[in-house]
Amino acid sequence: MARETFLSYRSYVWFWLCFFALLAMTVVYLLDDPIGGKNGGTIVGYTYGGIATAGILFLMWYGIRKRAYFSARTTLKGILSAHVWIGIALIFVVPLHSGFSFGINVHTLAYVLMLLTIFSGIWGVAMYQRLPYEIQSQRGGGTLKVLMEQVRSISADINRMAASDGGKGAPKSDAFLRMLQQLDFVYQPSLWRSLRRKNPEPIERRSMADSLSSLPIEEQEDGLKLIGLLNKKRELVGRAQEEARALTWVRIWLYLHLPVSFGLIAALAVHIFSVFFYW
Amino acid sequence: MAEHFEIAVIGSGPGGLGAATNAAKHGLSHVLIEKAELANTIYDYQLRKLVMAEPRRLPLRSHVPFEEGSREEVLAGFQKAVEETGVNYLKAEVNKVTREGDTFLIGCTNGQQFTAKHIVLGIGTMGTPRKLGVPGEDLPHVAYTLADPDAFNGMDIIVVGAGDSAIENALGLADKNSVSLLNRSGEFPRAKDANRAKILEAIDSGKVRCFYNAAIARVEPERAFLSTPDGEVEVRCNHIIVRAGSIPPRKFVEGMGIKFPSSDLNSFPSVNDRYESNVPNIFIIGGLIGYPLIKQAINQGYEVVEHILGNAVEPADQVIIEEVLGHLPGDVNANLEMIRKKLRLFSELSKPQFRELIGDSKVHVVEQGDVVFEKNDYTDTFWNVVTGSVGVEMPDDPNKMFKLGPGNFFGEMGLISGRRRTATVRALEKSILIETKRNQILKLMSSVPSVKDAVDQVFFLRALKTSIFPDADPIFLAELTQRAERANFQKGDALFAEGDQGDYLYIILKGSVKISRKNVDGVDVAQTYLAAGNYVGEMALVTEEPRTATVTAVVPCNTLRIAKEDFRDLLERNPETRENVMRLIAERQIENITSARDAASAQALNFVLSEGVSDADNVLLINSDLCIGCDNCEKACAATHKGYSRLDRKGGKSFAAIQLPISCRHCENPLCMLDCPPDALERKADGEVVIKENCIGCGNCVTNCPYGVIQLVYDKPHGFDLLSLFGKKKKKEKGPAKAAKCDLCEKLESGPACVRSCPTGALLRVNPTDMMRLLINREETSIG
Repeated sequence: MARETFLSYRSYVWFWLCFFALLAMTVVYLLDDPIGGKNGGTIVGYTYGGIATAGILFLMWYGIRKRAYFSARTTLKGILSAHVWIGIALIFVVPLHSGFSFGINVHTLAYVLMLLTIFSGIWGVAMYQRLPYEIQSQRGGGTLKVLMEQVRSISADINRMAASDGGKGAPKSDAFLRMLQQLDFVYQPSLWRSLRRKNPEPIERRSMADSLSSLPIEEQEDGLKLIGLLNKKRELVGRAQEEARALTWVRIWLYLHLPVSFGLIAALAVHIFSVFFYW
Repeated sequence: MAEHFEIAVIGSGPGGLGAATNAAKHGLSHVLIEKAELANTIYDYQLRKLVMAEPRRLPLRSHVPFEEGSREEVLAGFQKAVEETGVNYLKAEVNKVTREGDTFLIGCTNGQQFTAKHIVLGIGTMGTPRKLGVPGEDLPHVAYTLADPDAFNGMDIIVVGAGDSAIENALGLADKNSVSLLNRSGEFPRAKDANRAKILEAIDSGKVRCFYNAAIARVEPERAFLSTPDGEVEVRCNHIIVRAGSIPPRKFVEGMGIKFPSSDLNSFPSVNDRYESNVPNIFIIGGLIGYPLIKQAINQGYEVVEHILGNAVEPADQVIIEEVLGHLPGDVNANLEMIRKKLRLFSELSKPQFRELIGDSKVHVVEQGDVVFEKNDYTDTFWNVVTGSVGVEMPDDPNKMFKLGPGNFFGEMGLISGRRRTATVRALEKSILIETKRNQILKLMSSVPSVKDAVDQVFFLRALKTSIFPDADPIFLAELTQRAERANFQKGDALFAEGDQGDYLYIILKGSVKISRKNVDGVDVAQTYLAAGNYVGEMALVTEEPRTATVTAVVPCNTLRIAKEDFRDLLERNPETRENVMRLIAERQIENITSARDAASAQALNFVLSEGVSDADNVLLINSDLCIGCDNCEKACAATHKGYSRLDRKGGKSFAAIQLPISCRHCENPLCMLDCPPDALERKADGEVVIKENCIGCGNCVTNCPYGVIQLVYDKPHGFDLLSLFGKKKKKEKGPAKAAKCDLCEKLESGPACVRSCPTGALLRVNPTDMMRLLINREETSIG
């Protein structure tokens, strides 16, 4: 299948556009020799400040464009490509704008917030690349919900095995119940579990053999079946956790990327307001 | 002595009501016999369902009131008409009709008997629901329909049956009730794939309990006894819904001596201009003769009584005929007669049939040089030349044309194969042409054998000419057509297998086939597919070699086949054609030598072919390597389509990185279009299949679609409803639930919103050819 991503959109057209624009801006910056030294108040400084502000507004507009479903001229993929590459370019535009002068003030605060937004964005890009491979349930045409239902039904099967063969056979031996206690676990999804990089591991061969050999002969077959079910459960829980983890991180990322970007807008407004009225 | 009536009306549907009320108004002695409820089909509708009054243009002529309204309003109107006109209504089931002299003896299951001079049969096509046939089947909690699933809550319900309606009922009830499904067999072979998957999932998850190979043994209040492979089982139940199919009325109808034109289950008995069947004094109206709409049936009921009385009656559809023919110079009725005489194809149609045909057609007056349709258009209408002539461009050379004069027809390829137009057609002079909807002609083909034969004959001839023998002598082709035979294949059937002795050449008329060869390990590897219009197995006609590949139908296929001996025999007698054909076959053989596929692309090809993709015109495809599951596609679809997404991203099947989500494929042979009473489904010239505003929400298309992409939905109110936050729901939307599915965003110039709104470009809408390119050659795409 074709693998053109939003990064490589149309042979990296947005990357190259941004690259050459930055190159041009750097050349102009180097050639420029204003009175009073390079800073945000020169013609080049104001121009670059304007460009950066326009860039930031364009990036913010993505949230609106994403929901403009009737939009006809562009695709969201193309806009996302521009969003990412222009965002990265802004890292370099702002120092050119300020003449590399930074301090502990509201102006630099705006830059720092912008960097935070952009770096969180880059983190998001990395996640967008990995996510398709982590949303495993999707590959079977299912959902996380279906996966969790499978876990539930397999747990029910396990419990049925423990409960004396559906009421027909004799109650299970203590050894059988002990084995169950040792190897089974209750899976309660939680935020913490979703974030922790730890999945249930397959049962070790050794403990399998130990448990099996402790069973009375007539329960050996059921014991084998139980181990099969328990292993299946571990595998499914592992997959579910993997996916839940991926989805949780996306959510966390959104909760970071968006508020920081709004903080940036506020700081930017203060920055512009203060330079025009108090500088 | 049995009571005698002038007219006995069997069946109290709209047609029967139209007849009985008119008979009552005329003061004729009559009886209206109904085995179930008055207007039973409508009675069985879901509660408060809106009943539409299609076709809108057709005036109503009857003593029965009928206009668009809720089920309850319509039924109340019918009831009132019965009371006010003094219809002699009788609840009984007729099981035997015999002729005695010039009267009929009508026998009922309850032993009642009548005699009647005329019988009006308005029993529709639904048949009688199959009953349980066990003790207790008549208890009040045993039902054969489910009008309102919401009316059941916290009950123990048994649903009997394994078809789509049983499954849909069981699933609809399972949310609030404890449902057991009773399946006579061990599987669900009759159900649609989507329904089968849903019910199996519900059974697996314990939502629905299923008894396989089981039947009800007897019913008692509050419980039922089932015979299962494990012996008799007692199940608690407050309600039983039997959806075990129905016994079609055909046998009953044939028992009266009425003939059907063919064994085709879709065929209708033919009637004359007065709706009289081949049995004198038995008249048939409504759905049973192919008029499924309520208004049509009511009108026919009215008219049939006038005919019986010998009164002249102008057909109700006169306004429609005037609309269609009005722009021609001269008198409308004279023009209608003129057209009827010219079109030999329709010479055996009854007057009402012909009028309906014209009413559903468009009459075009075209000037010399006007294009009627272009090659590769997706239109599927059928054309007749009334006066003048048209030229059909030959595919290989646009300067060559063959001329069709008055009485000829064209456009039959689209009719049968569902494929794009194979040639451009132009008017050669000022001509009058009639364009008819595909469904109308298909309906005629199944009920009038002469139409089917004539269309088939010409279709075969032209198929042979365009697909294999463009330069062949016409006499040779005509002979070949005589010897060619139809062969139909079900999905998965092999036309022939690698290593077989070659016997036939196949021309694919409809559907598509997969070509596969065994690799060194003896595993069948898919190589490619061929769509309708192509031919396979041509080597068999000239060589003695065994078959070099296996050819399998990937969707139901219709083919035309020619036996080797016939073909050779004909070639012997036509040396010139022989030379052309041999060269052509040699060229094909060279073309056929292609490199073998690698295993991965062959598997992918196998997957999409087995999903019927080759029969689609435009498939929605998700590249799972790019999809991040953000659902922006569904949001885009909902936002651009009245708040309801027509694609289910999480549904459908997937293989490796390809997912085919549930969304319309705009099939070449759209099954959804087959049985739409108001003809609301339409195929546009670009190939998309859309549902028009005149949908009546009957749900036939939903049932017929094998891919489960159509749903009945209410339009959602626009904008955000603040009250809903406080638990106040808006009043239930007025209007019927209507069928909704993907329309390829035909109203947006830029194409499908889902594809354009995917941030990672994981979604593609592609035609099968592009899809094969993607899968086989692994080409990069940059769509959007």
